[in-house]
Amino acid sequence: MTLAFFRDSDETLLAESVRKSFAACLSGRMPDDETLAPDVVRTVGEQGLVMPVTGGETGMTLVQAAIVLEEAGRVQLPFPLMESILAATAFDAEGGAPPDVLLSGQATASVITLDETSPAWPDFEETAIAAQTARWLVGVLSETAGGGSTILLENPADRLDIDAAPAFDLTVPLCRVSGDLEAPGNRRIGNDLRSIAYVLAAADLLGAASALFDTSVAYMRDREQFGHPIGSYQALRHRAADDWVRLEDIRAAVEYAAALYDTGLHDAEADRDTVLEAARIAKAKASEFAPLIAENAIQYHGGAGFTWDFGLHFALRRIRRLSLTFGSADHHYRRIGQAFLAGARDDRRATQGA
Amino acid sequence: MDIAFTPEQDAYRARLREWLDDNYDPHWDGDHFRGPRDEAQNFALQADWERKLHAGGYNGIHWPKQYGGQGLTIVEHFIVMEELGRLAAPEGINSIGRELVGPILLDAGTEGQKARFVPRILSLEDIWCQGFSEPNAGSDLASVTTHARRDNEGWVIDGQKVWTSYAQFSDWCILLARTDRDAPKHKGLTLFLVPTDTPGLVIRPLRQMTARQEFNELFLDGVRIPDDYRLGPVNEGWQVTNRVLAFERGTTRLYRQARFANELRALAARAERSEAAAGDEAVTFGRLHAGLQVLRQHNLRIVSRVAAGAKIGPEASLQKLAWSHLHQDIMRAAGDVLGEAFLTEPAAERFRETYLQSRAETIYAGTSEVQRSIIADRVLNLPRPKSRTRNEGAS
Repeated sequence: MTLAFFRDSDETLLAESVRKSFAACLSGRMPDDETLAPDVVRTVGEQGLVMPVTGGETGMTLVQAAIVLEEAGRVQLPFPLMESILAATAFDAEGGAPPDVLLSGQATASVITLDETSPAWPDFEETAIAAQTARWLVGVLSETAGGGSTILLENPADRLDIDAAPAFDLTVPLCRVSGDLEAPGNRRIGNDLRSIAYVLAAADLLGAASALFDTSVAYMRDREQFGHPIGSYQALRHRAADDWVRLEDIRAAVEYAAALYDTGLHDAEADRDTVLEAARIAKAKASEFAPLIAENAIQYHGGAGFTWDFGLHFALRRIRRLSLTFGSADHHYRRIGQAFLAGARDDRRATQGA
Repeated sequence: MDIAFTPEQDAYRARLREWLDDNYDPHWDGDHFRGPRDEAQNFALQADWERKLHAGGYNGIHWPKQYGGQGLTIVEHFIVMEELGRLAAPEGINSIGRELVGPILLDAGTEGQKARFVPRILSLEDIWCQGFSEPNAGSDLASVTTHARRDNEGWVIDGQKVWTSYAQFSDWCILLARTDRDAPKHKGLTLFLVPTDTPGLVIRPLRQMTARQEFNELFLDGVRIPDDYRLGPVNEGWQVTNRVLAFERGTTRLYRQARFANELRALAARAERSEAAAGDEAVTFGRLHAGLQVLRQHNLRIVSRVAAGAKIGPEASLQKLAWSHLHQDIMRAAGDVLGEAFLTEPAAERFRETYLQSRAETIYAGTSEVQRSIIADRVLNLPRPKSRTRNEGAS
């Protein structure tokens, strides 16, 4: 065992096989294609992509889950994959096995992040995807003092108000979920799923931004204007170099947070605050940079990039949705900064006390 | 993926911390962060510290034992860099020797050159400066015009160098000179090792915008050196330099992340006393702290890859861009957070001078624009600009 902060051969293999299966599943169709749904469910089930994040034999590591979500983001998979993985993890945390229909992709989950310190609590109104059709709703308590916990409830459509929101991200249905979470039938689960949620959302952002960036670089090599490939012009070359640096920032932050979480799975002494901070950094970086990369991708493609049929907008829309849910960049930077400033305050008191 | 250090590596870090507790003096952070204003005093203080490090076994960590190094791995080197940065200890007066000359010697030097020069770099018996840049060869380093011609068994060098840090305190200069004026510009350059007391070599200090005089101009007028002082093959100086620098660019600045973190903590400690420190400064600190954490992750990535035997290539340009721009962001934030106190408080001198100093960091060791071109060419494989057939290199 030595420092090896890069994908090992098994992890590389996992990424390749998931990428292949998604490519075969979509087979050239746009991610809003209505004929996709049964094929996506079948692929998710056959590949066993919905598993609890446990690091044990019955589940996957967060590094593995992040790899799967990155590939899902690459193709903008029209399926609530991270939501179902979080639900499976909640079931596992409760000590029970996740239902087979969840693992097979036949039934899905939806996730909301909840602020227990909000004045309206336990009434709430939050944004979620695919809540109308969800069999389970996972409520991740986002800012509970002393660490988060999770609420799991069945058949949310029967017990909460779910209203369709305007279609912006066209790969999953967005909705507003409201109601009262103190109603009977909710299961409180001790586990804090925040780090998993932030890392997986960031991984999806990473994948979608990577796909747009790769498409852009290929386009800049081929597309000619003024008699030369546009990728030979410094204005675009340097902008693309900056985008690549941003992408590598997100990648490092996602992989590090996932690896740190996995280290903590086997180490009861692990500092949960450090893990949560790393997960917030991943989500903050991804939420800040993925939209920039996506917006630049449209610009590199010029008029073609602005057309519906070229399809870049699917990733742009998904990226914007994910960057604003599960905590925006500023939300997470603020939380990170508050903890940092509190630490500096404690340091100073310690110095002055000495 | 594995981000954990081994128990042995953790123990190495613990021993180093104990050693630093006993030996780190004076302290360079706070008001004395860059030592005395007087350059000679400053130099002496830093040289003493670097000798102490060497005596303690904390210099040349991953260099071969036979040349005076510790014979350990890049991971221990990284640990030492992190711990020194954490205390904001000086980077060392002989950084050109350690980061440039030593690695090039180990890569391209003769056995005699390695045995003679490398141990003396670590022990600080020889201090080195770098004669690469010229008034008309900055980013376009390959167009240096300083010329070396054969003369009997040796060489005669004429020309001018600039931005030669610490030349006034150096014993030796590593010099890039043109040896074939007819060859394409990248193919007619050779590296030389020049004693700074050679007749015909004149050093003139140059004041930087921080008001310090660490830089110099170097004038060479008929400087004669023996052929033993040629480093690497004739006309392959550019290739030798770039091979080594592509690698070094990734590993020589590992120290900086930890020092910048020290600076950000110091800024946070001052921020609360400042009137201007109202509003949404948590977001500012959160963004900068997150940036530093990601910079450390990039360091871990590079160290992991080197430890696994990989050669670091153009992706080191990512590292250079990341640390230099993040540092400028931190120092700009120092003014935003402190407000007028940034200008007036004596104790804010660290931030005032470092703000100015950080402007150099996106210029030296290859400007940000050169780094972006390297990434565009060699990472993204974008088509080359029509006006430029070869990539800019390193400096």
